[in-house]
Amino acid sequence: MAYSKELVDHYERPRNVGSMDKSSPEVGTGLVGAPACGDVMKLQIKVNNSGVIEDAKFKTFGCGSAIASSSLITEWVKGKKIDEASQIKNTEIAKHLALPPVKIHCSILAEDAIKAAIKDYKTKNRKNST
Amino acid sequence: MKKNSISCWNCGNNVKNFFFCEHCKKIQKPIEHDPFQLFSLPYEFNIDIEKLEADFFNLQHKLHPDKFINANENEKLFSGIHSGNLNQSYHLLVDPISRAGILLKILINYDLKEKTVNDKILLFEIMELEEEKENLQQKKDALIFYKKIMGLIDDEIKTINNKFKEENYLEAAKIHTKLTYLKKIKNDFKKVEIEL
Repeated sequence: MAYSKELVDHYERPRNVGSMDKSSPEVGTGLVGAPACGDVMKLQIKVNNSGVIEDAKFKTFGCGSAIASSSLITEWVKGKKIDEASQIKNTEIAKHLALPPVKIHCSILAEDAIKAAIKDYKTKNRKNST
Repeated sequence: MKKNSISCWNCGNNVKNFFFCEHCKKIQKPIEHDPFQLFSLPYEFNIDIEKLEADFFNLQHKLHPDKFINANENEKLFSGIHSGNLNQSYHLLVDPISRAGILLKILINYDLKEKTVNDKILLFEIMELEEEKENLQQKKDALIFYKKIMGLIDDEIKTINNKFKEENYLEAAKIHTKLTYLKKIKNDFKKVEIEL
């Protein structure tokens, strides 16, 4: 079985690899893992005053599907409002990358990572406003 | 209640042994089992590895397809399945990390597959180890790193052993998650070593 062109492209040229200052109030950090594959995924978003994701970065150690899923989701969330971004479903990622059934959980991991990042951002800013 | 009465396909008597009929000594049809049952082991983490190995060779000696070259087709088939099961179960039990995983699955139906963890302290630690591994430049440093990983694995195996003894299975499951990551880093290291 061959991996799709989209998947290989994201794996070979991952977008938005890097880190942001996790102590900054504008930055939300999601850290999730899938031990079965040995995946660890860190996904960060930078959100402006109007609740729009200006930038996203990720760092993933793990299999190709996990790297491609996190790379793709950083591209998709940029320019979206945080509430829109939290609507992204793993099935959309899996479909776009044509993930084989055994790798579906890699797309679930990416969805969990963005949700965790948004939650972190919201928690931080609730504290700041009170 | 699990039914304990299975009749021998050859003589019709009840059989209790997994492998051979106690009456006519014929090889039996393989039935569902877990690796612990196959080797008549209690559901405990701490097992006698030397005994396991001896039992494995002993059983393989009796059940290997080579011993059934002149047997009928069913017996040949049974022997092939038993022999394969023995290999697989032995390897799962001999590795403490996979043994812990099977035990957790049996005792508390814990399954690591398709599970997302969000234990930040653990994931941070793993992330840092991965970054350290990624930045290894020299063989000397790689060896130091490898020893560190091995040390961490040994420590966690001691801890998980205690947690199983205390029947603290949730804590054991947490340690098992960490061990699964450490094992992956250890296996990756083999690739790093070749590159350096």
